[in-house]
Amino acid sequence: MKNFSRFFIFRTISLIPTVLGVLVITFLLSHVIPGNPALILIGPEVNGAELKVLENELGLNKPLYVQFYIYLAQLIHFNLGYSYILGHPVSYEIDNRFPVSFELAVATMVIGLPLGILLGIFAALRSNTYADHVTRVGSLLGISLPVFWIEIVFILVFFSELHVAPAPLGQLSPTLTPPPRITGMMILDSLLTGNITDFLNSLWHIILPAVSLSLAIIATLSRVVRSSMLDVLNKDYIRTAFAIGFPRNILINKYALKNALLPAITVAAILTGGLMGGVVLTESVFSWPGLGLYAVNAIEELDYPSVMGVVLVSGLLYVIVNFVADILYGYIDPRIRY
Amino acid sequence: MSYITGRFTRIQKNRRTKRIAETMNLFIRNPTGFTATVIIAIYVIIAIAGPYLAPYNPDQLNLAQRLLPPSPQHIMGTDEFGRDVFSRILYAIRLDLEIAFLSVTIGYAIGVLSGIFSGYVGKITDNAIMRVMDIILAFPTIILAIAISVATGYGFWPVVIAVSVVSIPGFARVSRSTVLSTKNDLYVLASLSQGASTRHILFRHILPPAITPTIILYALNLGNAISVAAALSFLGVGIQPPTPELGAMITEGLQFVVSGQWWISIFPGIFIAVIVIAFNMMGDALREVTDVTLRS
Repeated sequence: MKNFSRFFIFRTISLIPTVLGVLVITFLLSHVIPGNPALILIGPEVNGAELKVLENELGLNKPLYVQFYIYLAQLIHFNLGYSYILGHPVSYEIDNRFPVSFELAVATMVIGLPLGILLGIFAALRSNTYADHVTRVGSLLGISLPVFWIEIVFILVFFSELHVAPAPLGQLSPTLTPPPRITGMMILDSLLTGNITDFLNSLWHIILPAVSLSLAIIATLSRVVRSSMLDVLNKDYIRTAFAIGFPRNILINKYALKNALLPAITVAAILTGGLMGGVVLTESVFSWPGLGLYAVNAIEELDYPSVMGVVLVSGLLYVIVNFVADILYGYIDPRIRY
Repeated sequence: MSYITGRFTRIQKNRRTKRIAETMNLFIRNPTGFTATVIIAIYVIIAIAGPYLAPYNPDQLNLAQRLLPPSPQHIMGTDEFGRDVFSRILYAIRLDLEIAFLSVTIGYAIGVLSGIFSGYVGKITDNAIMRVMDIILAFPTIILAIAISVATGYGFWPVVIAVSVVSIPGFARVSRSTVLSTKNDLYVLASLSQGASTRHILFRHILPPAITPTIILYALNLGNAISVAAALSFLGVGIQPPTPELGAMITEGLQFVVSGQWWISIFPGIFIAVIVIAFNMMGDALREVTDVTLRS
């Protein structure tokens, strides 16, 4: 255990430069964006003196490193700046919309992780058979097809033609009253307030976006699990066990699977952290009112503080998810602790 | 002595050309590699000859013929402004391939150079370069690409910059790791102890093995570049309408999908999907034929 706590501390320290780097990049990118934030905040009909005062207040006339310091100091107070268009703090919007995207991400992982792992194991156990080739072609398609295009095809098939999916217009049918906000997650909130109609309706709405987002995850994960499972199955200790007549079921489920799933942890973490990219695209196709749609709308309205707020949050989330995965990996596999 | 070494290098050279020929042969015989090559070749031909093949002017507005379904006159229908979808796709393929090849080549050059440099020099330089790569990797790909594209203004070059930046770390990591493993190999040390120059070691011993895995990555990244560029334009931060671009064309048709005019979005998507699949297949096939351990 002593070993593990050392690993934990080292990994935590290594988090610092990465987080700092994410902050520097977001700061620099928001700095490069054309337009004077002071001018945008108070509007064009203003005299030079007033503009100077506001520029001074915002620290825009200070050297870059001082501005970065101000940026950090504001971040500590969860101040991500003010939305040019909506007028209220970016952090308020993010707080409001994060649960909406989070719910979509959770639904995606609930579908994607088990299916990806099962499909990978299935393909490995039947390697070089017809079933394996079909899985491989499927995973090639899942990795290659643009997610926003698949979603359009799904809408076309399941909504326009078959009429089994709801209109791609958000989390709930417009005729229903949404449940009061408790967690901000529609499905959970409606369940907590005992509103079964809303619960079923929101589940119905989340299926299509979650399934289409999970395709890429299933594809990537099944590839990784397949190859690591094949790797393990060819190891001497497994082959020996096979040779001496060890029961196949126990061998696969208890001995091979555990080792084969290790690399899947890292890949699953990268996929989960990177989900925000797919979420941006998915939310704009399904009018899903989360962080992604917020960013896309902000882009259209040239509301840059909002865009950069979302970029920062996604970067930090990605770093945190990978950190948790590394710790988990170190906890499960004693060999990689240092 | 010089006679012997001269002969020796000649044998080595022959071996190398033979090995390259062997690999090429394997690649063409590989069904995945062959299919991918054919598809990519067709796209490249379209990219070059597109303007001559297109039946209509891609920007020609014709409001009398708007939203027509696929027919012999317009094999992929017309869009909201009566423009021929097929002609626009032909032009868009040229643009998308340009973006992909340009950005991945820039990313390749920067990534591989910094990776090899990083791995060969080591120590603080290595640490500094790799930390920068970690930071680039600390963002989800599309999010970082959006941020860069927003910060540099929209259009052709911002997309190229965004896509090349996100491809740099992969190249750097792969080339660095090969350099690290070959740097201390016995044959490199032997060459060093015989007084070989740094240049000789770099170009003769370090570079060749570092290049192969990056070529596979180059192919895979081309597919990724097409997807990311299309996604950027789809979100409105990439190539701006009315320029024909596959991702932007999907957005243009988005509002008509529900009302039944599916062809505006669906056809450009198919063309994106096929080329991305082809590049991924190419990467897989290259991996198969260059991986000596997979050869039987």
